[in-house]
Amino acid sequence: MPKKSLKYVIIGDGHAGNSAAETLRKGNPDAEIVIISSKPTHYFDHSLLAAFLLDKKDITSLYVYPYTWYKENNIRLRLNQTVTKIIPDKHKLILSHNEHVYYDRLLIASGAKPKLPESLSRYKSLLTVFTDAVDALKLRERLGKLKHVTMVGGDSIGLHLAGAMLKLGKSVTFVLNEYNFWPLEFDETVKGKLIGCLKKKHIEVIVDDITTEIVKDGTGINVMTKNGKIVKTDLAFLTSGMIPNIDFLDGSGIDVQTGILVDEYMHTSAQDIWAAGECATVYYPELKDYRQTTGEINAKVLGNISARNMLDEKKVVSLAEPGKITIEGEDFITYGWKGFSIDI
Amino acid sequence: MKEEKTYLSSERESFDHLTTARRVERTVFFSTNKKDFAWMRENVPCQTACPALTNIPGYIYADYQERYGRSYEINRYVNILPGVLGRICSRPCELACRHGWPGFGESVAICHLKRVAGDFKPEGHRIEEFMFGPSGKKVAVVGSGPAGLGAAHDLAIFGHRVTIYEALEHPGGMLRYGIPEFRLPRNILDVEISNILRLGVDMNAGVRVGRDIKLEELMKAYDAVLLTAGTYSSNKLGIKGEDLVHVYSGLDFMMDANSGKDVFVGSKVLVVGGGYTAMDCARTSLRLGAKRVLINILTTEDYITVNRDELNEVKTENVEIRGLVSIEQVERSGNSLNVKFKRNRLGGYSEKGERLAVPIKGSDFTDEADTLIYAIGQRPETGFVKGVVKLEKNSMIPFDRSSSATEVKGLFVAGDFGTGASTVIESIASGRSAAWAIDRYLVDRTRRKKVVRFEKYTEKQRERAWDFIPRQVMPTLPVKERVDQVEVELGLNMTLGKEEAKRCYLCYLKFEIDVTRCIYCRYCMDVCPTNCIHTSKDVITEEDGKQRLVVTDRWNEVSAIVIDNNNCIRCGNCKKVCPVECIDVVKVEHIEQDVEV
Repeated sequence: MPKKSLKYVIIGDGHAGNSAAETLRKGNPDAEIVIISSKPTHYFDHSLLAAFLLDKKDITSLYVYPYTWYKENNIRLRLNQTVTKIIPDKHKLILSHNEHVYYDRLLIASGAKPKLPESLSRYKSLLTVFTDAVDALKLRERLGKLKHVTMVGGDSIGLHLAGAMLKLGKSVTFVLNEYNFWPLEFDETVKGKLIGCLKKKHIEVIVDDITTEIVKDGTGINVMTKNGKIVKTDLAFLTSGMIPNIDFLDGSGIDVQTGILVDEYMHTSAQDIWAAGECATVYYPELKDYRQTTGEINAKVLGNISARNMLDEKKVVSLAEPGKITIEGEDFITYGWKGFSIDI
Repeated sequence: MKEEKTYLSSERESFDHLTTARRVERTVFFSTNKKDFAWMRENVPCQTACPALTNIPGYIYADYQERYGRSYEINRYVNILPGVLGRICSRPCELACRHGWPGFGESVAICHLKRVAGDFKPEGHRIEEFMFGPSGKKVAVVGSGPAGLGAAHDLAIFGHRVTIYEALEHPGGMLRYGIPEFRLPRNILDVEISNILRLGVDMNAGVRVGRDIKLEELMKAYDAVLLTAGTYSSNKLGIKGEDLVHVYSGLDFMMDANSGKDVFVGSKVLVVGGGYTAMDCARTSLRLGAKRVLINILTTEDYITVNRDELNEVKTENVEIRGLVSIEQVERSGNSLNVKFKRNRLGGYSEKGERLAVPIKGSDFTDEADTLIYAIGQRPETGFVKGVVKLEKNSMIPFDRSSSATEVKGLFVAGDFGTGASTVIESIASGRSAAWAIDRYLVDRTRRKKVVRFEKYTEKQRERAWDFIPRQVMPTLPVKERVDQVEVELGLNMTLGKEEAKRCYLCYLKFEIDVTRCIYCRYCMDVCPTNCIHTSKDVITEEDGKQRLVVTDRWNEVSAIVIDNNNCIRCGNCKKVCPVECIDVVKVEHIEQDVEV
């Protein structure tokens, strides 16, 4: 057992971070546990986010635990505070308001952020993201004014969002291409099924084409593609997959590939630092390979395993149960997701 | 339609508006003081990082002025192949560029701007050469790669009779046989080589020293012999199966492909290695019909030598990069190869500072492929030198790095042949430096020297807004059109080139406050965006000539307000607000000059 006074700091208030915090608390009832998150709202269920647009419920209905849960479990929640730098040698974090936070053991569970294809980087201000509760709140306020929305890319957030939009009576256009599809391999079968399924729902689908330009047009937006299509829309969503959110690691000396490189014990290259969830690239002995994991199930499993290793248990990582995505009645295996159907 | 080119008087001849008396004030001053060399080293990071010491701010400013011929010549003073290097240089300058320092954005596309000069120099552009009279001495250069060509050029300039012996059919060495044509079109290479041969250099191509003619014979027939025979022996993997059919070394593969031979690749190709040759092999495989190509590297993309632009092109062409793997062995299985790998984790750093990889126990996996290409470095083939010089244990030739001289009188070594594989620009620099040493050996005195040139800068200042122009992206061929050997990078056009040229801070400008005129109003400090102007009590000159500010904020100690040029981005804000015009700007350049006798 580690000594009682250990201070565990967790960067990130998502599935991985919370699962780790819970495990740490169970394993060490007296330890100091701090979760630092750059978001103003706390841990919520992503799968409810699209449905949240449909009803008038309060934002707290999304929360997995009420705030009181953290108090009861003696977990300190520091919301709206951004880590800008890690100094592993000094066991120190620097926050954006220049506060220095010390840790004994650190878990990085900073998750992922929407991927902005390089060719679209200059249109960032015209693209809307939909990844957290604040995005959902903002979008819900604007819903009344929207008639048509466009999904730039076709990730699962886009698919969920499109479902909600249809129910709200909005029309939807998808600009799909293989680079942006995720979390499935976009082979011909998946492509065919997906297009069929979306079209059945009266969603306009543009395939084998790439968004090249986005311009403001009065109150709306024009999304233009390489093949010369112009989609007149009220809102363009960035739904081109996610990339690990690890910019703050620059200069820390922690090894990264796509995400933070961790061994089978979820340990990073820096002493007393572990990483879990979508920000980590994990070595799985059973695959004999590294894998960048996505999705809620993986994040929870990895958070748990990291925490057990932070409690000195020496627990080797293993793959989570695969989930399935149902498209047009056919199931496709996906790793890291509980699975969902888009045939609703 | 292209606009007629006109120069603003302030841009081209900025002295026209001055009175004659003011015009003659314009003086140029040369220095060999180590303090001035130290200032150059610290303040013009791009030029310092360039092995050939190219005057980068100088040629970029000429690009900005649309004086492309001038820009090309500024390059040519120290780098005889600007068109070539404007495409394939490894760009150490861009890693050093002040614009790429933290907080300042991205480095200037220095290499692309070199190509701009080459692409847009006027037709029939006049090449400048400064020839010495004939010396009556004869020099043989063995090898016509970048080092050999660099040396031959300078030796010819010094008035010596130069003969190049090239083992392969055409001159150019690795430039022609190592680098694929889609990165370096051969017509560009041919023109720049012929510019060297035109100086009276004899080219004996297809003559291999050691086979067709003995080194001993050359030593007798010439006053000096320079060996620049490159690195034509591939490093081996040292694993089982590396001699199987369809397992190539990267060098053999590229040489065969570049000579137009029919090379088998099949549909799936595995490449091992993380250097430029590995990237070239992968991209060439695709053009020879491979459907899937994987580059296997020991560590991660962060630790390979290839620059980001090149890596992006490789990925754009759908070459996959598999990081953190070590190759273990190769077996034949029917028509294909079974290649066994282990996964790695990152380890510490080697003595040379390279990142190490450590194989993970029990992580073996097998991948199938039609072809395996390993490109893990090259060594010189020094066999033909054996009878003349005693080789070191590792078969390298012992020589003095500063004078390029071997222990045998009249025999010199340069380029990769002496040091092992390096870059093209390092080889050119090494060849030229050997030529200067040979000249000293032949005429027994120094005829060229390096000096620092100062000139009062009276031209228009850069605009602060230019600091925020994003780096211009190199236009490239769409992936579908990348077939055969069509050049992939299309080059910046004049408009993009000018935008990019504006981004250069022109670090060769030295901003200095004249203490005798300064009234300590500190307006300059208020408008400085990088906090590079300090109240200081002393400037200490260290032994190597480097100067260090002793900053103070106690007014009773302040002896001067000083601009720390190392943090200065030459925005000119200080000069604009100075009420007493006490800030002087001087252009400082590192140049080569004749030693007068």
